[in-house]
Amino acid sequence: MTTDIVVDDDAAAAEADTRQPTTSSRSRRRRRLWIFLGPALLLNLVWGWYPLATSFVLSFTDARLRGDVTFTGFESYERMINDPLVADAFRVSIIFAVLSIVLTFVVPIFVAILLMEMPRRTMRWMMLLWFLPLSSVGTAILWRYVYNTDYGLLQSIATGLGFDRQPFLNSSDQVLFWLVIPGLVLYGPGLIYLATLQSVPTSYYEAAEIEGAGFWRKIWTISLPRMRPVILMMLMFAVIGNLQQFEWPKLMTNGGPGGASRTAVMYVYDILNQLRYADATALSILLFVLIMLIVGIMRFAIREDPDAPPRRSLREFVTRKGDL
Amino acid sequence: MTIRIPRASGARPILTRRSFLRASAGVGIVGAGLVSLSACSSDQDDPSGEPEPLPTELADATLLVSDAGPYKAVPDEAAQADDPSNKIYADTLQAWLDENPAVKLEAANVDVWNKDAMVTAIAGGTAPAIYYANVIGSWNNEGIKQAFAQQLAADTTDLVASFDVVGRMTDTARMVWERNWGVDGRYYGAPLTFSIGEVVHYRRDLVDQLGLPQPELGWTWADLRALALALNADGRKGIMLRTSPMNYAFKTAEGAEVLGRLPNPDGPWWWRYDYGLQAEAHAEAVANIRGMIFEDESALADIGTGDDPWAPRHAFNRGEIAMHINSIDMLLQGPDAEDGPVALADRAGLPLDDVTGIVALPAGLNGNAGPSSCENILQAVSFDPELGKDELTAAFSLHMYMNTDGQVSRGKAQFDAAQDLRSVWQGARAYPVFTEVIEGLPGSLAEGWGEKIAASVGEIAELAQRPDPLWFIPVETNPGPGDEALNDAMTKWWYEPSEPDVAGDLDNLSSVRNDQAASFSSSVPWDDFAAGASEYYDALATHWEENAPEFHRDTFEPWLEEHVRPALG
Repeated sequence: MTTDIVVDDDAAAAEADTRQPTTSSRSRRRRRLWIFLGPALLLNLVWGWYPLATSFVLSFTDARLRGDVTFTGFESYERMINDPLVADAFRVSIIFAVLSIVLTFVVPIFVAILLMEMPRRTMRWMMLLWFLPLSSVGTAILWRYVYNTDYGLLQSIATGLGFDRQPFLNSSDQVLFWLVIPGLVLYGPGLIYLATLQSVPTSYYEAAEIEGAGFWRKIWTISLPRMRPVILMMLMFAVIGNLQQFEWPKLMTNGGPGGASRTAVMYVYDILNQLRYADATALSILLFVLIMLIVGIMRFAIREDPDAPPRRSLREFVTRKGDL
Repeated sequence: MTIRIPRASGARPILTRRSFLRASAGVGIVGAGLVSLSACSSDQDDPSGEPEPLPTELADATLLVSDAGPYKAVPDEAAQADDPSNKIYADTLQAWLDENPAVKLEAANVDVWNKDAMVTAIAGGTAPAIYYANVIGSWNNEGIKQAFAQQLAADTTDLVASFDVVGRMTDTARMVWERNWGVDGRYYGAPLTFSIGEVVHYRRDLVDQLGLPQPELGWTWADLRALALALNADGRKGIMLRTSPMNYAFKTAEGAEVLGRLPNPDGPWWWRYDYGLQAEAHAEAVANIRGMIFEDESALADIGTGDDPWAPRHAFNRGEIAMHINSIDMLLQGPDAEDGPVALADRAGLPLDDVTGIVALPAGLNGNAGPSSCENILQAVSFDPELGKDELTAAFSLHMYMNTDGQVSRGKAQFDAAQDLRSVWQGARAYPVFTEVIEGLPGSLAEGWGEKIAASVGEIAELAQRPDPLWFIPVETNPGPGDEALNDAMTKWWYEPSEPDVAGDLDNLSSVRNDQAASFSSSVPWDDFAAGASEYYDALATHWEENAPEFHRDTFEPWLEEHVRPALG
């Protein structure tokens, strides 16, 4: 026997309208809400928003570590905007992010889908590879040797196959591409995609097969739509993370050659090293604004799940009964 | 004590660190406005006047010390049992603590080799009492002086006088100390070690086998290229080049650093940049280095290896390369290391200084730098600016002991344990700063590492040092533009296989640096700057007239008269 569950939104709304909350119940609900939200808010306030706000204020001063601090208005912003290397660093960050998203974000989606078609043993090995707790510093140093133009593994393979000697990281045209490649092999959100795909009931695919759907049709109509909320969330994380890339270019090329791999965060670091704290915070704020802008556009333009009901406001959430 | 920093331009609202934090604390709040409160101060006494005599007995003081140096707390019994050098260190330190029972050492968990961590700790009041001054100044003289001007170290002028630090130093170390470590007549630290810095390490035995003349003072980068090509044989590369020595070839040996920077009376930053003035000579110098890498294929250079000093050291001692440019410390250390210089000499069956030679860095193709422009380097320690007077005295006293009597007793104990003078005269301890240590330690550098190496070290240490603007021009308290653009141009030349347009790159470099400089303002009044700059250029003219007369006559003087003198008025 099967039981059909049908959600009648109109009936629920009508019922909610008839149950008007009293003042005391509303205040009780608010108190409960703040008890739950409080710790998270406090942590965010101390470790997230306070430093952010302090950085914002610092960027309008000369930000000396000791002694008098002087209000300098928009001087640091002016200095950063007039610095040609800032534009270069933003350009590098954006190219790096795009390359990284195309190569290490999109490719694993299809790898995960294909892996679902593979024997479970193969799938498990790939999951293990993605899940290995590798030290990014250690891995970066290892890749430095892999790319070495004189005695690196890739150079041996290239020349062994009859190609000319390759410049790899030594070429400003290629450096970002080669910096992104290790992420394709070692990191990326493949594991999360696989986990999402595993949560899709096999009955969906079975039903589709009965209806005559082929491999690509199943991907298009079942796998990708089911993965959509996760893909969009991971895309946002990828945008945020890649625009703040620091570790790999710092360890592998130190921003070279010719500044071709110096990201915005690396430039912040360089400026910090010159004790220019105000300029560094101003540049960080500019980067923050760029990231917020991109994330804002993404949030506005893309609905994570087209099947989800419209979002409720916080006021609606607080005043409606039965949610807590 | 409050150090007032002169301001270049008109008065602005002043905010202290405390009031700033208060203001920012309210910032949901960005518009809270910035309010002027009281001046931030440390608790040191005014150091003006005659230095006080040292106390006969140190007062109660607890000093935070880092395990990473320069002086860690007394190692525990297990650590002493594991490593004999820990036992020697513990005995030395304990002797001082026994003499000064009121002083206690407590471990501080701060990475003293990490500039960011150190600067944060100093600002936050959690810094160890004693730390490496070079670290907080990014290992360059300008950075160090700026860090001092920004109050990141305690004023030690009185203690330097009380301990007669200057009078006890060797002549070479004293010269570097007085020139590079004073700020407006004050000191903010104490000397630790002296070094002749970067030198060319080469295979003396291979040069002999090929019947080539040994490289010597006055050789040029063209000579180095020829030698690298000659040694590039038998599966061995001629040289491995790190980024900074190649940068040195352009910036220092070729004079780009000096000749590309001009006084700028129009301000607000008193320097402007024009690297294109010597474009032809610079292009030749760049081509010389690129020729080693891309034409001769006698040089290893990879951006991934970058400035790593260990890769060339290991490759050299394994016999894979015949030359590298590195700190002298890379030779005089690790007598028992498997891939150290001693192991290389043992494999060759020759005395160490017959296998490995050192020679000063080459001069530029244009004759700039004279015989060489090796830079004598002094490493120093600084002290937490939050220390009280008693704590500062105790910390300074500890430092002086560990670098004089303590260093002698450690050296004697190390020799007794290893019966190897190389274990006494090794690494940063190979060139003591204080005369009494050289006299007190067993043996000598020459007895430990060989006459030839010791002679080369002595020769390089005595080289005339190229005058530095910092010796003459007051220290900027406002940071200026960084070197990234210059470094970018150089890394492009050294690593990119495609042929560069050096003249175009130099023009672009000048343009970028001038755009950057336009947004900075100098903290030094123009008149003071111009007076200091005039002295600096006079000293440079004298230096080059004596050490590189042709370069002085053909390049420097015409450039000076045409571009610098008119600007300085």
